[in-house]
Amino acid sequence: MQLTEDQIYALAPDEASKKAGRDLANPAKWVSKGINEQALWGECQGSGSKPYQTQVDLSAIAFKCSCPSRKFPCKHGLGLMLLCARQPGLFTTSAMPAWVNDWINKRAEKEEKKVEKAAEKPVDENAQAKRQQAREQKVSAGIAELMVWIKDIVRGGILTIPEKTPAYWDNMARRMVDAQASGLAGMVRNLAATNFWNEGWQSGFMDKLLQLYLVAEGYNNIQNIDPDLQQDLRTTIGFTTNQEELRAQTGVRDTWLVIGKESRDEQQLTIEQNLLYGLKTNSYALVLQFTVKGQIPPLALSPGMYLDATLVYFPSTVPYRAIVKDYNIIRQTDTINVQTFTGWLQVAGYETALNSRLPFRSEMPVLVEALTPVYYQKQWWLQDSEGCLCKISAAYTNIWQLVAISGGDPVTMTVIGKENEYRPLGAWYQNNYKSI
Amino acid sequence: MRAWESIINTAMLGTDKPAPAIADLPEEVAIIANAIDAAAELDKEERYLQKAAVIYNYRQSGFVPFQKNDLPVNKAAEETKPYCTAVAAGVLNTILDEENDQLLQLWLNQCCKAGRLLLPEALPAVLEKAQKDVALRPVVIECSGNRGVWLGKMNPAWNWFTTLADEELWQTGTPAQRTEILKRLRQNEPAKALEWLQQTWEQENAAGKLELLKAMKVKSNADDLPWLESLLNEKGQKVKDEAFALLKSIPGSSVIKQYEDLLRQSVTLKKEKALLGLTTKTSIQVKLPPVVDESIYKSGIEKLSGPKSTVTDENYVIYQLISSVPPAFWEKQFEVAPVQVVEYFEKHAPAMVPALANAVAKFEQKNWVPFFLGQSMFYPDFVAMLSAREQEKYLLKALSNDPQNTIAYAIRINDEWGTEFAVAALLKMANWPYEYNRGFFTRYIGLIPVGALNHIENITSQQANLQPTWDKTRNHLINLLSLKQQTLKAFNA
Repeated sequence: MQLTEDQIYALAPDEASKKAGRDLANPAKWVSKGINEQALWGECQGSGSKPYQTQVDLSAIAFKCSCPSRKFPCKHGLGLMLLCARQPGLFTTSAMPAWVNDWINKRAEKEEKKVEKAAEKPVDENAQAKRQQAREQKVSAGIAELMVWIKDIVRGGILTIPEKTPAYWDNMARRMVDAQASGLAGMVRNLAATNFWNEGWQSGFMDKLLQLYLVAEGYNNIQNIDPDLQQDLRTTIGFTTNQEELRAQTGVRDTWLVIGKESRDEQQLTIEQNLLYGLKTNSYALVLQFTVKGQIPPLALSPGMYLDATLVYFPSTVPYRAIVKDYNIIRQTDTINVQTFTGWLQVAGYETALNSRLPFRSEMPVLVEALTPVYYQKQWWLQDSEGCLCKISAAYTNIWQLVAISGGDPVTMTVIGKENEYRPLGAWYQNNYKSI
Repeated sequence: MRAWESIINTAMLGTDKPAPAIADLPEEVAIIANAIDAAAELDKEERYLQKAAVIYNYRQSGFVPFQKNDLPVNKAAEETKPYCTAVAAGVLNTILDEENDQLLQLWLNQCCKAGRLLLPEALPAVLEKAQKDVALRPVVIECSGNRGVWLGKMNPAWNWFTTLADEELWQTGTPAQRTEILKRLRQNEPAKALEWLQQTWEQENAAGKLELLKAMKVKSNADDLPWLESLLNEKGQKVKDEAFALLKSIPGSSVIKQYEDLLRQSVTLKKEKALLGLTTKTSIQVKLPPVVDESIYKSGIEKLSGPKSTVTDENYVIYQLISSVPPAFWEKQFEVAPVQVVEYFEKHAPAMVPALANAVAKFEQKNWVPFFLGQSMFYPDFVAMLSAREQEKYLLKALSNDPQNTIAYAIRINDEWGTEFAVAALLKMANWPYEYNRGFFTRYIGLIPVGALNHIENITSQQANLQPTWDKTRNHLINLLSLKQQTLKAFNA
């Protein structure tokens, strides 16, 4: 198995599962266990009369367990993987028992059926076009209202903005939801989330307001712009892209390193952001997963994992968001041969190029070599080999771990941010990529 | 950037108010700004928003990082000791997740013993622990290596790696630091500690005096007596009381001499000829002299045994006096060896045997302890004074009579229990799973030996209804013991 303990813990749905999984990483708990190239399995004696049958598809990290838990992965899956990572010698390579074999075969069949189903599905193009037109009209109407709202803000001045009640923001966000522009609704909510207690909040607020304006105004002129940029606008506003169509494209095949993973809960939804870096193509990708509680996410990735995968980017002037078409988890390549930015000046040049194509883009990760955390003027910075400095975001809480790992020496790192403020995501430490 | 500042200033006031021209626009941006201004179809809000959007992108695209080449180099020194293994580091992570301080202490002790260092990535979590738990610091300092020292200099919260010399700290430290220094010095050089305290005594306030005096309990000895006697004239009552309490623990002090004088008259060995002179009948006479110096009762000896007591007031006073004098007194008084002293008391004054045992414990007379071990009575204070083997035997004997109290005494021991006693105690604990719960084992896992793991599956509760609760606790205990086993294995493989 290719996963480290840290990577396995990163798969856990919550702290309680981590702890319960850890307790089960004990050989005494497992009546039987085995491993081969495709799967890892074991029978765990729980409180029931029969042991729970736990199985992990190792090629795509998928779990199945006969326990009644609604958590995913359950503590048995985590415990089994942890035990395998800690004491691989206990697992003998053997043929899969019937219950594992059945599941692995069913997964493969399901995958095939999915492809066939997608190919068979008839599309009523007329109805689709009508729906599309109706939606565009709704969005345009919503954007017209949004523009009036934005103009009202700049006319009256933002000095009194911190005094606005939650309803002020909520009404406009809801209006955008009604207009089927969920992306804009999110941007309005993000404006409301500005920390008005922070000194200099005005600059950050104006950044967000201007991004919103650029998107809204851009949509008003959508006919006159580059098709990729049109897609960016549509995606930002909330139009969805047909993922089946994307899946049909060739995509980018590469060895991808998972450089970061972040999840947040929004209402009933868990949004998981997986940040990937392609070793050969030197490109970055964001793979989003939306799951409702109890639903099994199709991808189980954790930072430091290497995937041999094909990714298809969403159409964009700055391709970044992508879907995983197919993937296999692979063992870490012996020598880490990543193409990094040599310093902040190079990063600034790269970001300028991106901004020139997509001024309202979101923050993207970058891989920079030889960064040293330094404390200067009561603030933590990352200094490159040329002496250039960028601030470490105040929201970053693991600063001491980064400093401890570095020991004052430069570290090759992935960071995410913009202009002169970045948040570390991970670092190469003792020849391994480690989330920090 | 001035152009952006202009945008913000206008945004603050609103486009309704007249705004100055945007400052410092580069030529390319100025051309766009002029074109926007010239567009007649745009209202002033739109003009502002469009110009602001251009300048926003100009700002974020034209970013130049701040350069500073003369920052001092601040690097941690190279390590001279090897790091711990990945396996040991994995065990440490689990212990930290488990938040078990006992196991953390064990891991750190093993790491120090093996001459290894913590991996740098684990340092922040461990230093954070040691920041709250001062007792961990010495081992943490030893296992942290140069990286730890370096981090300690950077983070004020961890600035306890380099301490001042003891003497400097004694003169300038906080009250807690000074008390700690005094205790440490007292352990190795009691006379020097006394000298230091005497030098600063007059400058200390009452609360400081009290705390420092308490530290003098460590290795208190006859050399302290003249000074401690002089403290009985101190102004502060609490200081006086503490000094008096110390005097009562040092053989040869005036108060102990006073007790001994009274006991000399009150407890005497009588040898009488019996059976026409063929045998000698020995007895102990316990009786206070007709006149007792009343100052005895002001020194902490209670005069009355209490209304519900079955003991006479006279016997109660004598009991307290016996408890307060060193047992060696009886060797002189009876002119016999310790073993016979205990025998005489057992035979002729059995009610006073516990008082004698109290004195043995109070004055830490280890050589007297074996003479009490055969008795049916259990003396908890003796447990800490026995060797590991004797301790286990003694506790096992007590466990069958009074399990809960024996366990309560056993957890006061600093060293790990023997496997035999641990298993026997666990067998008893299985019957009180609500009392000996997860929290209990988390706190006392340091005492339970790894050897118990081989027996634990067979330890069940005698009451079926308690078994499920015990099962949960037992699983927790198994996990803790496994971690303990892994720790020992990781450093001793």
